[in-house]
Amino acid sequence: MNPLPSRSPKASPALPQARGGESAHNLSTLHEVELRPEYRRILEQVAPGAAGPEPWRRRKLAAAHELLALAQISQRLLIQMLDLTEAFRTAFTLQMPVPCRDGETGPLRVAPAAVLGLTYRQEAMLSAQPGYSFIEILGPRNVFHANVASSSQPPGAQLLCLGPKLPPNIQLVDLVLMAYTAISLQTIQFSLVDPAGVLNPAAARWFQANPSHIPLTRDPFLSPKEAA
Amino acid sequence: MTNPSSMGQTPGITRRATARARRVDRLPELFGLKPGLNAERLLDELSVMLVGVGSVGATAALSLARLHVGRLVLVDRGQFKPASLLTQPVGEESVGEPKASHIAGWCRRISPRTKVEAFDDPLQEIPISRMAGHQMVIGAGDNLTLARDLGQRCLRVGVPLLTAAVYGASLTVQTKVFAGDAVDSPCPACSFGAMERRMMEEEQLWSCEGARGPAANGQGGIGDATMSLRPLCAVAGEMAALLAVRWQLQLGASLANTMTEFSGYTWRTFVTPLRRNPACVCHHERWQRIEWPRPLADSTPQELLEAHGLRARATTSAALFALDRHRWVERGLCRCAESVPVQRFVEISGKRLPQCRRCRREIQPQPFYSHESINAERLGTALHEPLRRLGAAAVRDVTVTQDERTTWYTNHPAEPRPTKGSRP
Repeated sequence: MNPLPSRSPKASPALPQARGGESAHNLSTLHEVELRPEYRRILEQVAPGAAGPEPWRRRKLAAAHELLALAQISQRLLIQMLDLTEAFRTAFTLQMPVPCRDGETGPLRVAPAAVLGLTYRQEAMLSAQPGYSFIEILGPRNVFHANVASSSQPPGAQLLCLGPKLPPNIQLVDLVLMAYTAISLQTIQFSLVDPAGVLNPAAARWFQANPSHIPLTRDPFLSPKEAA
Repeated sequence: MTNPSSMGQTPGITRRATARARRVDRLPELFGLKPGLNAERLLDELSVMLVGVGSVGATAALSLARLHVGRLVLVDRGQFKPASLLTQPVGEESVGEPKASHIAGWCRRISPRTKVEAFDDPLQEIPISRMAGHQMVIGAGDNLTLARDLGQRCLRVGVPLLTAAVYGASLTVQTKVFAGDAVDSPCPACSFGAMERRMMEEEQLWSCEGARGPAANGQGGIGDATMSLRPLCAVAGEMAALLAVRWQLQLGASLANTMTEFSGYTWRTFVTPLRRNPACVCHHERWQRIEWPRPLADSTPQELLEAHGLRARATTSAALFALDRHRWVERGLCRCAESVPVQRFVEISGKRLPQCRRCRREIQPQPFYSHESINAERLGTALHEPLRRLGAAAVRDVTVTQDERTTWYTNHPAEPRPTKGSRP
């Protein structure tokens, strides 16, 4: 796996390293999860900077609580950065298999984790947004996936497309779960005649020809123990 | 009525110019004109922006041009299609032409004295400063998202908005005037119900080529064309032009925050008040406009913060800066796929970032690290650098927001120069 882009020193308040691993909650009740002190501190650290109209501020804080709760109950998610000043922006590591390829002809490699940058803008509460407008894969830098723009093509941003349009007011945690199933190839759209979602035609053709690699894992986001 | 020939020829004006009819030749002595108001002068001063130059908007534009109003700015990203000939005031030669530029050409021919500008771009690409300074904005677009965005922009800069629309099957014309003079004024989205919100979410368009959007035919394709009669569209356009004149000349009862509906079946008109919906999906805010006395590019963010009334570091850290048509780029990418620090403002559709030191290729803004607005704390030492040195040499408008209070600093000149996409 390539080195991850270093965090900008001004990108966010320094976050304590908080790692998950709590059980007895499921994904529909994340708002009810009582945050452990290390996660509560993160929320208290970023909450005063949340700017914007009151409904948007409330929404950002609720989404932050849910994301932190997800990190708390899951072993997969490690939050690296959280910023509520304007858009909701977070960078986090997801432990999951990530398809990668060096160069145009190298073998498929599977990286053990991805760092995702998620941006949720205020307008996403009101209008449908293009499926590529939420998540950028910050690392590794050589993701080889039909629905991820290739880093070797300008502008080089590895945007993940989650569909032609995502409905307004989509929940932030849903985006995280969609990203997990998309990157691990549990859900993949690689039909070239349906351009919705295909950002890397070469990868789409490759996976059509090599279906044995699909999916990279069948594991659900939460292990049965975590979801219990 | 005055006979123009009896007025003689003005020295220095050519015969062709004097052959043109003057507005005063047809301008009646309006009964409702308040003492002290000069209709001629007020019409000379009337500046209207029309967003949406289709069957309704083009009619209104041409009508206002015949009134020789002072200034018209036309905005429409569309082009005329064969079906446009059925409802819009154009001929066959216009098919394929951009709507705004084409109608602007006609307005200039009708009234050379009117300053006419055209933008063949979507509203979102028009700097918000171009919306200020008009006496009225007329919205005659083909979708609710445009109406919502227009309402927000007009509220922010304090310009009245008039929307005009037709409902073909019921022969109904509907016009709404949003005064936009206070944050508790209504906006177009205040009256959106569940159906409108669904249409907006589905990006429903009403086009003479066919209604578009998932709701149009249930499959996300192109459904039936929106049906309406040319006379009804013309009535809507003429009503919009007449209401703009009434607004400017302050004729009759106040139009502020009213909806006027005309039924072509009953020939009756209904006027109802518009009120702000506390549960409106839009944020109602009014920006305080400050004409900055020197080029904004030569000013530092810290100076703008202080002008906003923020001095102490504790109070400035949460302030948000936004530069019109710029974004703050923390990091960028180049062909060597490295993420490199950038830390400067970049024009959204303008010059590129410097080259990568490693691979000598052009750096591109990295989407996750690009911000439409940036908070003061994150600017760090850049707070004390002139915006020009931070990459914003062309900036003309800056907003500073804190605690829901926004100050809008502008260098916008009284006579704006055309920008990209503008055809003066």
